[in-house]
Amino acid sequence: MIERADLDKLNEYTVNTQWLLENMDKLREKLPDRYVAVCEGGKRVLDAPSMDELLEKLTKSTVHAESCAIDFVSREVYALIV
Amino acid sequence: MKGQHIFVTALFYCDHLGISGIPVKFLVDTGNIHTTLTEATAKRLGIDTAKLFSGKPQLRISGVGGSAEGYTLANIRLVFSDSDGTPVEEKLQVVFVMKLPKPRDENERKAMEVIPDLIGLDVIRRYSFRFEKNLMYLEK
Repeated sequence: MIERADLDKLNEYTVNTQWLLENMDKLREKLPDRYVAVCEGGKRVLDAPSMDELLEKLTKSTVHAESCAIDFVSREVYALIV
Repeated sequence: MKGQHIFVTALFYCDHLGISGIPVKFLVDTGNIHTTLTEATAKRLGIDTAKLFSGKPQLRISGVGGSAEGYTLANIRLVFSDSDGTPVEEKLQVVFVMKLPKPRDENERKAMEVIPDLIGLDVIRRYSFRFEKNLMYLEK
């Protein structure tokens, strides 16, 4: 059984992920080579030089950490061939 | 999900590790047999990667950029949300966590950091595809 709260969390995460993907070029200019967490639909953006530090920052913040979309924002644009 | 690549989000469950519905973004990768997590995501899920990687790798992973080792997480459930918000659950016997080789330099490290989590054919082949204006729809 999937809890309603979990589905709400997934929806919030999906919105944050969409914002992150759509704003990647802007983030690349502002926060190059940083780990970035996008929360609350892009209203709050946290960053750190490593994943461990970002997770620590998220834990200490007031945001709902599990719903935040996290990515490494590389200065260079890489084409993914998978 | 709209973007350059095709991504999908899902809740990740692994009951015996106490992971209960943490959202993950996956790149839909028809060239990949197994659903695979990066080390960074494994950490975000609360997995002790040092402990996981201390065992023997169960898979050698090969890609354009080189090779990696794969370590298994067993009995995984992924829950997607369909277009009307109904949960769709997929059970997987195993999901792999990638342990990438040590980068040769800082540039290689950064290139490795952008490698995404991958939804593989173990999930994708349960669906049929439909592409429409830059969006992909998975249909049962």
